[in-house]
Amino acid sequence: MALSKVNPNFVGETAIGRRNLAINGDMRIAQRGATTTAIGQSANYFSLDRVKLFNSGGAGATYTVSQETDAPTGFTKSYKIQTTTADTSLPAASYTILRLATTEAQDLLRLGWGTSSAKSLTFSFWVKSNKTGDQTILAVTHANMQQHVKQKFTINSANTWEKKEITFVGNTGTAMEDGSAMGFGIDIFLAAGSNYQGGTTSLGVWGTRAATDKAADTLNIANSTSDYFQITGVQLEVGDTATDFEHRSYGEELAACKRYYQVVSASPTFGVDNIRARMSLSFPVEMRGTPSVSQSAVVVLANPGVGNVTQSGVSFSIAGVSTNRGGTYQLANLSGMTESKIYHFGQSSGAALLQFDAEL
Amino acid sequence: MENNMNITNAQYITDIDDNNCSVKATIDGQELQVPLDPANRHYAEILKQVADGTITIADAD
Repeated sequence: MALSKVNPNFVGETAIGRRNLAINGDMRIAQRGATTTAIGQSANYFSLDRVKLFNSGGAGATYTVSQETDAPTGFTKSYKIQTTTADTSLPAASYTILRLATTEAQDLLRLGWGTSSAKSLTFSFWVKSNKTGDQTILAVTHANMQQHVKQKFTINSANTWEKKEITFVGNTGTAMEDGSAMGFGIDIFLAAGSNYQGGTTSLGVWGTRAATDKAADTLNIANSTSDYFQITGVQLEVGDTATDFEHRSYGEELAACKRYYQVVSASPTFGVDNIRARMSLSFPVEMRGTPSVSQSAVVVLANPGVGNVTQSGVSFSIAGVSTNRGGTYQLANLSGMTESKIYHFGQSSGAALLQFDAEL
Repeated sequence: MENNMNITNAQYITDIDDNNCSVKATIDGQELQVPLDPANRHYAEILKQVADGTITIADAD
């Protein structure tokens, strides 16, 4: 086929494969479980991978975060934040932020930011809420940059899926430093106190991260237990045009998520003494950095022919070496163990998971 | 910057040579062991809250 016959939409920079910089944009991966309830003051990842929720500043609002099957045509899952305890009088310094499309700095250097040819980013998504009106949305740089640019979108109809497309102009003023630290993310202040409202700077202009601009417009979902915000089809791509969502396989997306968070549900262990067991693990995907470790519930270790040993309480720790590729880890709060004997984790452990977190 | 993890019970853990090798802490209600890696978001926040005087890290047992 002559080149002149190729549709230019498929040879432009933004239309070639691997367009979507956001991971888990279709909200199918939920390594932490499908639902997290009673989220109070916190700053963490709940339920779905790569979506972070900040709830801070003393507000009394609490939320449930869940993976839902309600989604627009072409998608099967969505992320929902539902208010479960309302706060109709938010403290000035309070906020509830959804942070999406967090991206390592090293993956954005091709944008050429800090030069006159800095490339734009376009963020598109499907959204649904009982609230209507304008909502500020921020492109935020982290690491060495610490700047943001604000835009806004409008929810026109309550309880209806709507697609939004927003372009953030490239940053010509400051270059992003190389590395695996957090370079960029999209922030949506779904509720905020007065400290974050009333900003009047122009849309689409990069500047320092001024507080008042962050929630110049907010849907304020903390106001009622009827309030919710739902999102899926999140795509962040280079250029000023939103293209169709790039669907990737479940396996690809899961592997990408594991760079930031992964769980282990089975492994041989060996007795160190009568109260501790150790294991050496090699992560299936190299993580972004050395992870924090934790466990979701007490573990039952199985010793075939002898019986099970149950932890009296959670205790999972680094035992010596731990890197972004794996390490040696230890379970404690056990009893009746025999040194050097093999015990199986995962054979009788129920839902217990060993958790490794190297999130941005 | 928005990052306000609720951190309590922070305590150093030592290796077999008695060098600090990680921090055990309860973060947002969950007990974690955090590597001494500034690139780790939990350790970065622990360092920030220590600098702010919000928390202290207890010596290892």
